[in-house]
Amino acid sequence: MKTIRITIVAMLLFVFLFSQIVQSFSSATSNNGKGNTPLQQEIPDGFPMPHYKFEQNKLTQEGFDLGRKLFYDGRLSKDGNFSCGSCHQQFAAFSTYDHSFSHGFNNSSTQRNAIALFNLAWQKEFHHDGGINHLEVQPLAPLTSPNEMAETMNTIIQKLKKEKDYRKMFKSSFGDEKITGQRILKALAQFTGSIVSADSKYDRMKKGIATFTPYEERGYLLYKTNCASCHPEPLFTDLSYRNIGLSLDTFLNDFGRMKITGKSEDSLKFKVPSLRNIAVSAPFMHDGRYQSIKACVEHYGNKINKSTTLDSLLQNGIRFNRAQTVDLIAFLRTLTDSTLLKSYRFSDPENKSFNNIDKH
Amino acid sequence: MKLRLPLLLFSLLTLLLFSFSNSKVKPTEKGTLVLQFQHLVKDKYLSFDSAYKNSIGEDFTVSKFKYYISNIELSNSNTGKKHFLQDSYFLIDEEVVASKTISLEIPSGDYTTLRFLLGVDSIKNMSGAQADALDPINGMFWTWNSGYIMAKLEGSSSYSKSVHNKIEYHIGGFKKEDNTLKTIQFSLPQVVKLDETKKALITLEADIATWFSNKYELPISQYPACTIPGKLAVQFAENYKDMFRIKSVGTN
Repeated sequence: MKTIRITIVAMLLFVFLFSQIVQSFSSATSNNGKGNTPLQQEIPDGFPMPHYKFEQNKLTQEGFDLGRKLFYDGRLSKDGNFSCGSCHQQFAAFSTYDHSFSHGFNNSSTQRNAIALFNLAWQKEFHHDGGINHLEVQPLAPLTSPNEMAETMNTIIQKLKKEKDYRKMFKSSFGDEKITGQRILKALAQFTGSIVSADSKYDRMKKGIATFTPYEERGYLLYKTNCASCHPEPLFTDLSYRNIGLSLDTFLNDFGRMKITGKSEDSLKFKVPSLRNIAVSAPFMHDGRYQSIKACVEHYGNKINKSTTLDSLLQNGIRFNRAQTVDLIAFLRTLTDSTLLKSYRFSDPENKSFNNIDKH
Repeated sequence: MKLRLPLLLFSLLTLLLFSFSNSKVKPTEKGTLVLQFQHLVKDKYLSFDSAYKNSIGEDFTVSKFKYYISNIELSNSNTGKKHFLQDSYFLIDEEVVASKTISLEIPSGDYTTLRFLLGVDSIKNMSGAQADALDPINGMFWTWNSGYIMAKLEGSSSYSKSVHNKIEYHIGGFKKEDNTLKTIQFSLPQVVKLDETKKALITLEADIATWFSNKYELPISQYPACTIPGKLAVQFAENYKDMFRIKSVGTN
């Protein structure tokens, strides 16, 4: 009898100690996600391992929901008008539809085309010049830039603290109601890092559940021979920086990657964008100078501006005749991921009429 | 038979308990080391209201002066004993009095050498959203070219050709040849003895005049600003790495 009692005491002690250990462990990672509903990161078949694996930012439904609300909240901008989602529109694969540049605070304008947002977890660097080295710190640029959201992190925190909804969501995501810059950025990364585009007709063809038309099939072959070295499958970008012969716009004077590295050999180099969702993310190029896919295809044929840093693969240009251009564009159109563009999960949570969303 | 299982459980649990409590019962004794930072221009204490002259003879005032201290290590050159403060980042800010005194818990012992990094190590420059001293809210993080500003000096000078005669030095950069991280090491003028009863105090002085002329001469007239990583930032860092000196070591 005595032994049993001692055993019980020992077991209780053990449970207590164990809980202490667990507690000390979780307090050491206090700013890691603490939501109760873990989510599995989506890694599509055939994709490489992502670069961002939510290791220091445990992916949970609560964190994702908070990130989603923040992404679509205009209060993150100085005058309340500009949310992340206002320049990164879902129906345009999270780019700004029909705008070379996006509108910012006080009638200002950005100086580069808004990048479409998807498969960000596979990227090491962000922006056209790769100046941002981590998914979590990317939002700091648009949030604080005077020609974008023009707000300070301090003011954002003060604004969010006043909202009961937010206090509740921060508590369910991080364990308590404290709102900090770090938590805002981590929550945003839960949302943006979860945007995966891998359900286009091309992807379904790869899985054997869709068939290409003869046009698309011929276009796919043209793509493989002419485009795939810089835009390789399955991400349709090699994430490198290249000068593709876009002449310098002397108003913008944007030398791209050189601004970050300070090296003349990086002059006029910009990050290779993904071709996924190209049919919905016009205008194109870092400055939105081309309005159509056709104009982009033609660029490689006869508009390449030669300079010392021009990519070695483009010294002679890439010419497509009219029939080939039609085929290539037919293929590029198979890269549109309608599932993502219409996904309720990634839509504005405040948008009650989601089904009527502009599908242009 | 009935009793044997609980007995087995009991002995297992006590073993487990013992192994846990063992590490808890014998905590290393610790002492407190206080590092105090004082800011000067040559021999005058810094005040935002005063004007100073650098060694080139250019006048200037200061309106902001802050820098990161991290990766602090205390060691004993005789015994080889070392204590490295993991994950310790401090933003020393002239404007925030409390930030200029930092209090560290160090295992008891005798120490002869103080070493720290002036800046934020490259790992933390690449690790996403951070909190506390490293929170971007502190205005020490570049949003367009990710990375921490290791040290910041702002003010004005009649020699500056910038708008409103401003001078603006945001020194940072952690990659290869743009690296501005500086390791500062001092052999302490006397052994610092730390135990539970005594607090040790090391007072360091930082002389801003070094920014303009030390290894490199960087006149305000020529360089009123440096706000991007690169060669000039590296030169400023080479200069200011010698701004510290130990004023005193004592107990309190």
